[in-house]
Amino acid sequence: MVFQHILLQQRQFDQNEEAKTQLQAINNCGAMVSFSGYVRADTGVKELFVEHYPGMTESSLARIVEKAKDMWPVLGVTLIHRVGALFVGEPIVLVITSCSHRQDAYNANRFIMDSLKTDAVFWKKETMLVNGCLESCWVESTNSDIRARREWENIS
Amino acid sequence: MQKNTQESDCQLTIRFLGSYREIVGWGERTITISKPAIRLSQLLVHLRQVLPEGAKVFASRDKLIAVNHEVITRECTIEAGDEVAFLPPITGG
Repeated sequence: MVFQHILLQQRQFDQNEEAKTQLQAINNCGAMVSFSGYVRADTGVKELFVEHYPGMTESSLARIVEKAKDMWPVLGVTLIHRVGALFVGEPIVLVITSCSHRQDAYNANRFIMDSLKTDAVFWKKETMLVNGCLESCWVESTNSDIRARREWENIS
Repeated sequence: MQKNTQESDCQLTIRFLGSYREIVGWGERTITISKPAIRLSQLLVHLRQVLPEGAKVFASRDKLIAVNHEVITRECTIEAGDEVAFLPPITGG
């Protein structure tokens, strides 16, 4: 039985607590990889607003996790993504994957993160300081994210 | 004068997400169509008429349309209770 915990939430998450919960729920874990993403202060960014579409976003996250479980022998997966207003330096996403062997845990984790960038139903709006004034604009998908996701299509 | 809802009418939820919500000025609204079901292409024609604030969204070539949380890529029938959402290109997590 694979441990699976997928959550959208506004509040911050506790990485250590989530890793502990997953470790206690699975048997014979040989490797656990934990990735946390944070809001960067790129080009004067002060705040990031993450919008989701209730129902559809959860389905998109579940599909990504299912694909990872199909591709690697995953024992446990935790995916927590924050929504709403986030400030620079705050954690935004947590992905923890456990497998018997480290290569599978690394690969499953990176696949989930790469897929989140292109397949997860989110929209991000950055508020930045420009010439002393706060300006907001919606973020567009980057080519590097799309390239990273396509790398996996060649092996799946 | 407001028209009463008839048995042959169907109510749909129309949603705009992300930047589209800001363009249109609202995120969710229930509309009534005077027939029990409607083809998606016909619904788009209807929405262009009744929601002039959505003109820019309807004209966008990048838009995604989701019906009941599933992205639609071809003609389909929209029925009573369905939720039709207009999504800008997703930017991921």
